[in-house]
Amino acid sequence: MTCAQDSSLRAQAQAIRAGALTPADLLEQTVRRIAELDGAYNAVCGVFDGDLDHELDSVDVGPLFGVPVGVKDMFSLPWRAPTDGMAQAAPQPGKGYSDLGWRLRAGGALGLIATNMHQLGIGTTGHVSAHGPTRNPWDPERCAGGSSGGSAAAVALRMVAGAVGTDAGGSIRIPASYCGIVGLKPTWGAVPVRGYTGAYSTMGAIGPMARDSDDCRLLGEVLLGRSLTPGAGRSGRLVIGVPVASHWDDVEHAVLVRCRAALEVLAADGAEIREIQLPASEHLALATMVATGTERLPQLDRAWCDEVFPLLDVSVRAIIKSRFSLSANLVQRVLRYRTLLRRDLRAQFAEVDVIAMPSAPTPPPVVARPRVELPSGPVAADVANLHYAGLANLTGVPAISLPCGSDGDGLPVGIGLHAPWGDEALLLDVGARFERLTDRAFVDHHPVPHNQREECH
Amino acid sequence: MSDEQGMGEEARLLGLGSLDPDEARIVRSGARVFAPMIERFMHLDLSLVPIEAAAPYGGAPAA
Repeated sequence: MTCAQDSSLRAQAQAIRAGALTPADLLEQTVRRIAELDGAYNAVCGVFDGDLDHELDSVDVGPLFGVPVGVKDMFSLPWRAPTDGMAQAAPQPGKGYSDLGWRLRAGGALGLIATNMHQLGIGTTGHVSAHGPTRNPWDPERCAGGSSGGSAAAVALRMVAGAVGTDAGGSIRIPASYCGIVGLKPTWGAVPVRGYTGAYSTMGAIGPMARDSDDCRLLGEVLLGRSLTPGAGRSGRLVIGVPVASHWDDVEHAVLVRCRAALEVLAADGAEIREIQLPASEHLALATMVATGTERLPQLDRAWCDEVFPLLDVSVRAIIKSRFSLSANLVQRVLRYRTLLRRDLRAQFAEVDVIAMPSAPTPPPVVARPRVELPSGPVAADVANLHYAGLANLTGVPAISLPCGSDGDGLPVGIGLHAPWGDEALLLDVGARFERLTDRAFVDHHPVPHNQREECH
Repeated sequence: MSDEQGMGEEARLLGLGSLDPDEARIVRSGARVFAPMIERFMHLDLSLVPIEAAAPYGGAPAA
């Protein structure tokens, strides 16, 4: 017997539409699985325990009617004020309907599972949270990634079939890569931001995380409020730009092998692989750090600092304080650098359809010490990851991480694709094509939690 | 920047003007990583590149 929990997001929605599954049964299974598993993973930090009938009455009969989804704990929900990975909710924005909440409501989805995250979103590892480090479903000693690590782990563990993440510096794509799922960072501004704790950001985007590209498409259509129809308005040979010198050199061997193999799969299906250069890309990690770090500072006021700051993890406190010492010149240079990158990408996308690089240069690091070993030497995982993730955030283009294999220890590897502004559908199309060409080997492969779900086997 | 110098007047106004020893250790460690990156970045010629303040980040840049 197959649990509804193990079904795709599409199948769950279809089963409810067909009357083969009730929202109450699905939510009950969801809550049960979270209770069974989450003690070892810390993927979830809040579960709705109110009146489900009232929730169902409040949502529209949309494409995800009655399906519970995970929501990163950065959004106002009617039943929960976001904690941002802290022990208590911040003074703002409090409970209520965020724009995201309205989008979920229009789509019929039940945003009833709050997912854990790297505290304040300041980290790509997910190991810093007042709710405990989010642990990797493939190896609990490893990081699930961040900052949307709880959403990624909850999907990989099949607690939920879809979850919402946010991405200001790879925070959807890195945990998607670490956990072996699909994560889509839409174009900046594609999803409205009221009631999102990162609403001030020109780097952050709200997007879907799911087990495959078509589930991401379904949840993505609800979030973006528009169709992401496969193949819309496109024909001809797919041209994949590969910035070999800047993004395929200093990566762990297993990642290189798996990502190259992914390109070869697409090339064998007719895609053209074309080497490109991304000028000045050596500054991506620094610029991402400066942009994300300094945009936050005007959000701080004395009351927040007095009340909340002492409760933060020491690493988060130190990072925030250090941003005050960055010079105005540096911040302004980063703004100009973003123009440079955007202009370069516009030129690149006149020649290629997508740009490919590893989503992260290594598999997930260990929770106890999240550093990674690159061919060039050891470095903090955040610094290594931002070189890959930052391009999409600094320029606003959409990007996706697709699972494409695993290393010798069974840890997932993801390949990242970038598309022109507004072309999320192209990324999902390439993802679906890759999944078909690989017989879904990487998206149907899933971790076996420490305590087996016997009723499903 | 050093922990002796503190974080400046704006941080002080927010009550964040000093570093405890653990924060100082992390800040120093970060500075060691980022200082050479900042130095290289300062050599990038951006003198003729404008800030596209009016351009929406969600859209392609103007031609």
